[in-house]
Amino acid sequence: MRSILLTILCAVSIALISCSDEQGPQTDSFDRAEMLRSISDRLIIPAYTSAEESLDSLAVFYDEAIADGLLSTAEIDVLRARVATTTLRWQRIVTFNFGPAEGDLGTVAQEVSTFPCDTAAIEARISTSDTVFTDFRRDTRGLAALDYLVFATTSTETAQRLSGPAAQGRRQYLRAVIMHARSAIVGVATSWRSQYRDVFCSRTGTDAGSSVSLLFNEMNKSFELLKNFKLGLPLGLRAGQTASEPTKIEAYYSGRSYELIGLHFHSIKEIWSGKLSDGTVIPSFRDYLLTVVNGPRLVEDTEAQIARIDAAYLTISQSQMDVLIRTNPQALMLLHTEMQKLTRFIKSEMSSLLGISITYSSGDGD
Amino acid sequence: MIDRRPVSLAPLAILRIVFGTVMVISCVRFAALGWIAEQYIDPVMHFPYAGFEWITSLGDPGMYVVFGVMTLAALGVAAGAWYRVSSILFFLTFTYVELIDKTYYLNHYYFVSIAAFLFCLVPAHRMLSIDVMRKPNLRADTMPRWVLDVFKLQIAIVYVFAGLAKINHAWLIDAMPLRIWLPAQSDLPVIGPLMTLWWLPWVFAWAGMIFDCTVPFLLWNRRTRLYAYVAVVVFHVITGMMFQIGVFPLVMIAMTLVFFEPGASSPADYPVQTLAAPNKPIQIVLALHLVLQILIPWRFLAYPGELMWTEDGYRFSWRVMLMEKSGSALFTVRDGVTGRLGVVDNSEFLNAHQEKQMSMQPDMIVQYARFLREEFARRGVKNPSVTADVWVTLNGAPAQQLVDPMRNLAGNDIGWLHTSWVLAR
Repeated sequence: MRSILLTILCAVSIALISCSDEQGPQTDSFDRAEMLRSISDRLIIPAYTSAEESLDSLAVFYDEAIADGLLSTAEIDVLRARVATTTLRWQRIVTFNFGPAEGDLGTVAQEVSTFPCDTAAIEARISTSDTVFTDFRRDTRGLAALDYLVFATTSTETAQRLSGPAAQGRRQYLRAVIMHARSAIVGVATSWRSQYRDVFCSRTGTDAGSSVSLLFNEMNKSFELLKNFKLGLPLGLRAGQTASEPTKIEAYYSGRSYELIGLHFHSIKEIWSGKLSDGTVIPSFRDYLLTVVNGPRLVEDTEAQIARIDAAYLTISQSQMDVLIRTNPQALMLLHTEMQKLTRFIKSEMSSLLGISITYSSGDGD
Repeated sequence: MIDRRPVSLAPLAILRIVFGTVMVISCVRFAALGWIAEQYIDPVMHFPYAGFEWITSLGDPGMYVVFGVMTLAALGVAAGAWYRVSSILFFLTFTYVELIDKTYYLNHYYFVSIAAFLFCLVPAHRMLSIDVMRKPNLRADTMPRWVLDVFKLQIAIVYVFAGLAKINHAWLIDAMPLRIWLPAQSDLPVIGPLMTLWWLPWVFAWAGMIFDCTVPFLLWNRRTRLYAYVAVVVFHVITGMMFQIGVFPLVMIAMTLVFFEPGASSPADYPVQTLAAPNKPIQIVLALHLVLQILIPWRFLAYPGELMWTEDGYRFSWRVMLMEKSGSALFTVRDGVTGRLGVVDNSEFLNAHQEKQMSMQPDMIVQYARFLREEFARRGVKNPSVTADVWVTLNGAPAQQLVDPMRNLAGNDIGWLHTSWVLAR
């Protein structure tokens, strides 16, 4: 026994001596609890509240506007502006599709932002006054349906299509779509403010189910969705596709899809870097990485790749995405390629360095 | 000098009860977590072992039946009821499930399979069992010493190889991956704040290595046995708290009980029946088994390249919690006629666990590429070829490409040979 103890002692001291020069003590550890509090109070909850407010203002305006059964072109323009604001604000919460956003039958992101919508199915539902949105036909509701109902024709034509007794069904359907999206988002926002915030802040581990793991997973899932579906799908880059499909974009009728891609990516960057739109910086994955072994190197690599994505994004002057796909797909493909290169930094390398468990499955024991 | 005196059968019977009980807990836990469906029914594809491609999931309800039989068999083992049938059924069902998909490979599942196999061959039901109650003349009080020694040797092999595997530069000198894993545990109750002490990874690394290399011998020695067992319990409880390793700590704490045999006593202590001379064929099988157990972990020496990078000969060698490895794998399917390239969304075919494992292990990457070739051929892609851009990070080092990104991986055969399309690190 004594010789073993002696060996252990020697071994440990050798290890310590040989390594103490190069490593240097890592005394300050990262405060994950503080990171979770900041992210929930300054990023997630404000983002949900702002999306909620835009839906409230949309819903209130719409109800007032249709009270007389008529919609003017001017009212359509206001309606369009409010739908647009809602869609823009949605991009800030699409990355937080966990916790109260997960329902038994699907997530809020599936319910609200499935695209493209099925216009024929929407028209069929309008004609039968079918506004019971409890089925899985998510392509008949949500923001894509709103985009179709409000932007598919000119303001004047849209005003006409929504006015008068004959348009009662269409007006009600549009109302139902707005209310459905509103109740979905209000539900999540309320839950975050009332009790989920404390649950989120209390799970400070890095195991599967911890808030760090959830945040990490959902950020990556959301990034994959952005890359694969908002960009890859319309470009025809998915395996098995034989041509591009320029109409399969998020906001085809309002022509804002490319702008939405930029905002969606901005949200990913916000979570990773903690640099909020208002200029303030909160502790997030970037700060966390700076405190772990080899983390500073990964931060550098990640920021360089993010810069390349931003550059590729900005080389494309804002334009209708479907037109862009038909006329200059190479520029979008380059953006897609640069996004693909980011995956390894923000997914495998980051989870590895931070020791985040991605799944609940047991690992190899020792 | 070999001690040929018979020993009490009680330790073996107790080991059987403990093993069976832990297995019942393990089966019930697995089912309760919803893992039967998640791991064996829901996935679109599985990753069978080379040579066992004929083993497939039985789906729903087949897999539930298999787990039902497995649980009953484990109960049978614990109770010593219809022991021969129970032990063989448990071994077969457990091993069948493990062979379906190697992305779920865990060293402790492999250990359970081996232990289950050993239990099929020993007379563990001849005391403290329902079988003895049913047929009293089955009862035996002593048995040859080698029966227990086989279990002890097997456990010693596990620990010693686990310890030898830790004798490498990354583990001992860089304290990797513990320097990544320990700070991530800073929220643990009581010991959490210690986890960020900068020198702790080195202490854990060296202590872990020394523990693994020496604990079987300390357990074997009567004077150090109790201390060693306390160390086993403390070690496994701590690692169980720190890492997501399921029932493994329980399995090892239970199985190391085998070292607590009563010492050989004078025959007068055992006036009852002693088992007849050991069955020769069984002895030969066990001897062969132990020889293989000692040889198999060394097979990595036959492959070129860095073991942790290529993982040629990595599995079935008791390399536990040895590296932090993670990858991102992007597959591209090319139409052989039109030349059109398409990017694969892995989540369409794999669950998160399968994707995580596949993304860093060359043999699984090839299996997946071959699956994609078949799948997209069926979807109308003509003569598809599949390439992969795979970036893997090992122990916190910057990610590097694991496989040749230009190579059509769907054209490769997988097997026991080294794979030339794996890039050097």
